[in-house]
Amino acid sequence: MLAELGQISIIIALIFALLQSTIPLLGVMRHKPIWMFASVNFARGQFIFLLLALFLLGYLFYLNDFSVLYIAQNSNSLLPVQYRISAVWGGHEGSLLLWIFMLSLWTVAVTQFARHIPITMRAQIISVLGLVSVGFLLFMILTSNPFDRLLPAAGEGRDLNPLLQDPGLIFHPPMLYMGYVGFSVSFAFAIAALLSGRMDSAWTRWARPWALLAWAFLTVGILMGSWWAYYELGWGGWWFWDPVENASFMPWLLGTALLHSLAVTEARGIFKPWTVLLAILTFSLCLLGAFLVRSGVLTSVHAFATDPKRGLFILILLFITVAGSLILYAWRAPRLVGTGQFTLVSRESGILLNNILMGAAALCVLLGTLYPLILDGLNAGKISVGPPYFNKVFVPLAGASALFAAIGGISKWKKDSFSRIVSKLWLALIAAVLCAALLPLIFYDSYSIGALFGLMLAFWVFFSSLKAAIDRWLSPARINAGFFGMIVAHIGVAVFITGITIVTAYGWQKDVALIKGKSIQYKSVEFVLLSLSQHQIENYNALIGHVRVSRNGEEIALLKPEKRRYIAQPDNAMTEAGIQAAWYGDWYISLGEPLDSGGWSARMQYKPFVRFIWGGALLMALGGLFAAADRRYRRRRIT
Amino acid sequence: MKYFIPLLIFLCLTVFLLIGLKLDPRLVPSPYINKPAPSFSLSRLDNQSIAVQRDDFLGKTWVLNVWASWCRACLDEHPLLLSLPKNINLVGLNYKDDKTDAKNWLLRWGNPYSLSLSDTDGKVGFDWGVYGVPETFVIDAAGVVRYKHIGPLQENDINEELLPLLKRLSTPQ
Amino acid sequence: MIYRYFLFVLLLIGVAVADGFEIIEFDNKQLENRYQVLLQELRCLVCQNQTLADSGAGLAKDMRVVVYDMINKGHTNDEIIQFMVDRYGNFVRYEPPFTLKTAVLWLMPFIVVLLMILFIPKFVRQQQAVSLNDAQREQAKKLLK
Repeated sequence: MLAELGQISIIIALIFALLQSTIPLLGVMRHKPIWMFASVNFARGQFIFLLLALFLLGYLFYLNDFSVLYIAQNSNSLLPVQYRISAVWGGHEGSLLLWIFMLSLWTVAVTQFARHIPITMRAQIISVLGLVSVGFLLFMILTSNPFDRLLPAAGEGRDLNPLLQDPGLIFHPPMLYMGYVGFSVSFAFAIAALLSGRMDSAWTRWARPWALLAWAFLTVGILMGSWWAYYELGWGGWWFWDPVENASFMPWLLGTALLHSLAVTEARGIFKPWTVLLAILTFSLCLLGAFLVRSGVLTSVHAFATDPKRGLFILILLFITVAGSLILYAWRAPRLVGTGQFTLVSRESGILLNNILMGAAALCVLLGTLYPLILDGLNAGKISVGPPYFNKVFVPLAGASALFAAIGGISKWKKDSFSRIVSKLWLALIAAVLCAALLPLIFYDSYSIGALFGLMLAFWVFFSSLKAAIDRWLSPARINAGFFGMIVAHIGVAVFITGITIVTAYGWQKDVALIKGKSIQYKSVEFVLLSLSQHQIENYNALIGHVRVSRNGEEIALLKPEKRRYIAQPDNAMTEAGIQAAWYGDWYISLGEPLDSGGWSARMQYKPFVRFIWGGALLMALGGLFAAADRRYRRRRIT
Repeated sequence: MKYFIPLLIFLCLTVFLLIGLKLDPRLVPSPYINKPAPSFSLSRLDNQSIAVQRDDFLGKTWVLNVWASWCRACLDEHPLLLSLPKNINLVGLNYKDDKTDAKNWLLRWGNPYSLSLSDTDGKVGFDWGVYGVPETFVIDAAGVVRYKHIGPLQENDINEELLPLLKRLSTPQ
Repeated sequence: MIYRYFLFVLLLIGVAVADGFEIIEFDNKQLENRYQVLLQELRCLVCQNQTLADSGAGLAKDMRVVVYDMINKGHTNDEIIQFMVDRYGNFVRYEPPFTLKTAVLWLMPFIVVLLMILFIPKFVRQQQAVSLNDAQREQAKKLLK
């Protein structure tokens, strides 16, 4: 009964979406204000029924209704209640419902918070968002319906994948989707700008906070994914260049370029076609990501259960959306002529450089992800593209981009001079070199070229951002939220680079044989297995070990690695790492296999400053939020 | 005109994505196609004292099928192997298996092989680039690998690929 | 349907022993480092989303033993990688080779950066041609009063 109600809800939502995508656009073309204003009601209608559908699905999970196929595939009566709810987005169908819900959430937000935008443009934006909704709703209803019945009902569910039974699943997908879907708003703004043929750049001022918000959410979503993989998967890595990771990273890279380009277009009225293109491409990459993850075209540890029919549908959706927008772009963009000029040494130039480097970085990730497919399609053999490639191509590009970020806060619009920039930043450069040289001596005992370069880059970004902030503080101009956000975000970049550099250069790992009571020495620490015991917890059986790490007899960490067997999937042994976290480093141990001698093989790792990676990313997101809150975006038009 | 470039690039990309839907990203093709088969020396499953070498097979096209008694999918393709024409020299590579289990399996389900070789530790399979079971190779009279099929053989694999290939290789050029 | 069984078998080999790693002893630290690095560069063919270092699959174990033996016998990293590539093709390496076919992969991003950077001065001049400079702006202001 409830499942059928859910079915009806999503169909009604589709009807609203159809109305939302057509009537307001017609209203713009035929100058009928009522039709344009109706966009708000259609958007709200769609939202209410999607909210209802989502709630119903969650409730059905709570009730353990295994007569619904999706629930039978992804849940189990032993599953703790919080994971039963988050299992809603644990599989393909439900995550699609979440995606569509988020889209309507953003749409309603636009109706609510963008009232200062002229109604014609607003109507176009909401219509475009409606069109995207229609596409995804059709996809879900026709090929991936979460409310499909399983008759006769299963006695027990297959259970949620143990790897997903973790707080990470509760937050990571929603955050990620908020970001992914959020970029549809800046996309809709860009399309509306092309459709209306407006020459001015007012739309960029309106679009910018939406892009910043989406970017901030995407940043948090990605960093949560990385953090979750780190503590959940047991191998201690935080990024694998897996196709699905790349699928989220590409829009992030272009989204970063978009944020910077929007700043230029808003301030100086130039780069207009480029900004529009970036907005279109960023969202296109979000759609491409959805395709890659759900079509089975690439192998990934993240990929949802795949089906070529679904893949074809998403591809058609992707094709219509992107080809349509790019045709509109090719037709209308030549009209968007910029009216400002700038010199070779200026903030505009710096941002242009950032865009080129971020664009090239995004291209690198795109090529790396798709090249195996391209060569296979051309019958030219099968290759793998993994971390070694990205380390050699991506890292230099991203590093160069960070190099110039430092200059961004200092340089002047329109016309600046090389000597002025040097006079502002020479102190920062010296401080950076000094800190990079001294830090390793304080904490560790060795040098590495890579670490030196990385730390120099990090400190360079940090000190130059500090300098920009101090200069602004001392000047008569106020520090508005936008500027503050930039400083915080750039410092976040510095923190991020520091984390990566140190953990890569000074982290270590050692495979050991843990035997109860036997102490092992390595790199000035000793570790010993104190105990190993079986416990039954909720829906799994765990073998929990206690491992003490000490230096000079003093305990510095007590780790509790586990091996779990979930009752519903007894053939799967899952490893849960024992981690002791601190801001300056983590101790990390994961169990391997039982040894014939009675002990267990284990991998011991030390990860210095690894938390800086996510801390830095969090600062970046925070910076984005601050910038979005800038009062100049909330000023109402007096018309 | 330059504004059309993004569209053109995207159209090319779509073509590849469309092609990609038909491909299987997990398949690892063999680097031995059109190259000499790796050499080996293994004992027969039915008689441990007899050693068989790669070069023993020169002069006639032969088919190597990698199988094991613990392999569920091998059972699926087994009836098709039994129904292959008798003039095909089907040789089994018993991969990482217990000899008794293997012999019992053949007794129970039928033996389509002219002979089976014992690759108990999987070293020969490794040299041949085997990474899953079952796999099937076609080697021509000169000892060159001409074809590899990954996974259980199905009717149309046999009818549309295997048999025509064997026919081509047997007819004198 | 049949393919599902095949994959199931592959998975069985992979999952039956979860994260397995053997305890490997080397004579000196350098060899051990080489071993660790090599294992990260090679891809497991069964659990295709894991490096040879992390995979618990039976085939991965066998391959690790081969790498171990080859290092101890004095082979270079290149020789060991080539040994694997001979048997499994370039799929087994995480670093794609640099050949004519992969030139685009390796070089395109850098070429794009180079081309665009060379294009910047031209773009700057284009902008200046299209827009008003300060003197012209003053003139326009006067005319529009």
